[in-house]
Amino acid sequence: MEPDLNAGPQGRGFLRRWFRRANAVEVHPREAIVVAFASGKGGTGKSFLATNTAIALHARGRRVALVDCDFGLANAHLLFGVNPRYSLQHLLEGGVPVQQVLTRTPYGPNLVAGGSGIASLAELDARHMQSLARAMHWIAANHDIVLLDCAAGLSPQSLIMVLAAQHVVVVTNPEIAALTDAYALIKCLSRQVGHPLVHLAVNRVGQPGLGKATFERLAEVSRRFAACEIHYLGEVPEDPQVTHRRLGQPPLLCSSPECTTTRTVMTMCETLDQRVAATRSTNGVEARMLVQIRRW
Amino acid sequence: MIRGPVLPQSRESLWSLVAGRLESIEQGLHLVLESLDCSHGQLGAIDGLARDAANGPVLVVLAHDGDPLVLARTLGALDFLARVGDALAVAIPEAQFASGSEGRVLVVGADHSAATLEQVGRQPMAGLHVCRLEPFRIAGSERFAVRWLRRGTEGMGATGPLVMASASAVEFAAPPALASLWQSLRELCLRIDGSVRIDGDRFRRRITWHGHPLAEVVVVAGNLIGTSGDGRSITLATAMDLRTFSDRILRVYAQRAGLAIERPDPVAASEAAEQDTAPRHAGSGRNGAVARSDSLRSVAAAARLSPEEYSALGSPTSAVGGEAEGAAVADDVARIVAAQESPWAPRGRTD
Repeated sequence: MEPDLNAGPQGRGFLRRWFRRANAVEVHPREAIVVAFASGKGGTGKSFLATNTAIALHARGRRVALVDCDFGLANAHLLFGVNPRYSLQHLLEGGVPVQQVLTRTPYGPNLVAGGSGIASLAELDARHMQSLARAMHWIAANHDIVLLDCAAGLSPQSLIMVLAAQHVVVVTNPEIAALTDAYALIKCLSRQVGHPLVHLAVNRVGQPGLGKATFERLAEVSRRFAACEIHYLGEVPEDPQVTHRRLGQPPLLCSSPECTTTRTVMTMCETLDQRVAATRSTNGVEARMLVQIRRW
Repeated sequence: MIRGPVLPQSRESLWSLVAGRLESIEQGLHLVLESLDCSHGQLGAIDGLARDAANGPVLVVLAHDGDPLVLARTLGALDFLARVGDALAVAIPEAQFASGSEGRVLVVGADHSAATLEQVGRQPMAGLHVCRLEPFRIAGSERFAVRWLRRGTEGMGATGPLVMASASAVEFAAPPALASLWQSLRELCLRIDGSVRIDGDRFRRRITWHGHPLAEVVVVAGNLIGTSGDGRSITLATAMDLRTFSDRILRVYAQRAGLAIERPDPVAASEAAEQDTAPRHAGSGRNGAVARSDSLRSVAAAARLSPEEYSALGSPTSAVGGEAEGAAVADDVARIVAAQESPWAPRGRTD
């Protein structure tokens, strides 16, 4: 027997939903804007920028959550100086609710730590990613901005996370290897319908202006060959304070608030915050992730 | 080859054509009897007596420019209806007229009766309907379109030339007990999509979306019969009938519009919404956007850089990594890639 789209419990009828949608203004609560930090090559400074950006956005009054999506090799918790009891591994395999996995860091942002050195997390399948999508829905519903610290490369897991975001900050260095890998990522994203807005942050810049020059080169190539517009976020200078940090030290924004690197990171966060504020929240992050998971 | 007019010029020939196609002029209109004389032979006989979809009497008068008594016959018919009223249902039981229904006079003409139709259409009488048949030939067959010059009181008293009334502006004669049901259905349909159109005649309404038929609602013997685009009919009597019928209309609409209502999950909703917002970022889709059905692995594989891209990323003008170093590395990479991709690549410059 053909199901009646109007029948069933209150609120389940297709016709009712259809016409209610036509009448109602907007009943869905606004979800957080999702920003992914990604790169083609490893070691470009994604985690450093993601953690410090989270702190800076929190200082600007945003409710921020950082999800460490570098599955199996996560280290954002080290940069925050926390030792979470639960991580993504417990969420995806142990059935621990996302509320318990979320760790409040001493610097304000909430953190969902990824497991480090856990081989099983490096081999997540579609079922795990669906669990993560459901968790992402809750996280997005309870924050203003969700930052994703993604793994380097073009793995399906990484692409799912990046394509679920509305903004992606591609972090690169002014080296040819990092640059070509960053371009490969941008080219990959540019071929996706409705891809996230691409920003470029150039890290470990040896001399002022080199980051801007790097961006201009990459922007020109992206425009010419990938038909993709990218947006400059800023450059972060090469700083021994960053590269020689020891375990347990607080993040740079908290330990050295007046140094040049901190100021540049703060400026980048201000720019990012302005662009994020102008973003129109469309579909839920869970739905966006599920769309990509189906393409695995 | 020169062909003559589609419609016959003589009154008798025109009547034989119209009598068999009254349903084409108005939904539910059926001829009951021919040749009704209500003027004691002074004005001539009215061509036919018909029954409409609401079981009301309709006197059909043929117009012809060569017949000077058409106007008088029409007015006489209207007067007859006003005088007789309900008694017609009793006097002609075989016609099965509904008691209490108001009678109408329908004047039908063709291209040879334009002047008469114009004259009749200007009469300030209620219950007078005037239409003109516009003939044409298609695929070898002869057909006619109906152009309404006047419907009831609509257009009464107009001083300019009579114009065709909008099909959607004609009042739908839904049975009084079902009028609210029809109004609800109409509002529901108009809220489906801005392109949904509802038009038709007095006893028939077609609901279309971009020309695709979604449903049809007709009045038959005081009942409201709805037929959805999938061919299923239902008698609309209760709110539940209305919901069932609306449900079918929506299904047809969703099918025509390519919406996947069979799986209203968040994924489908997201895909549909993303189609709406696909060009939200500059460059999307201009570079051969990958189909959504492609796997993520094939997407990643398609990101392989060409020699031109390598070269452009590390051209000598770049400040990247120092001018000399960046250019040299990029050129080497470009050369290696070119050599891998083309076995016929020149093998010179081994330095």
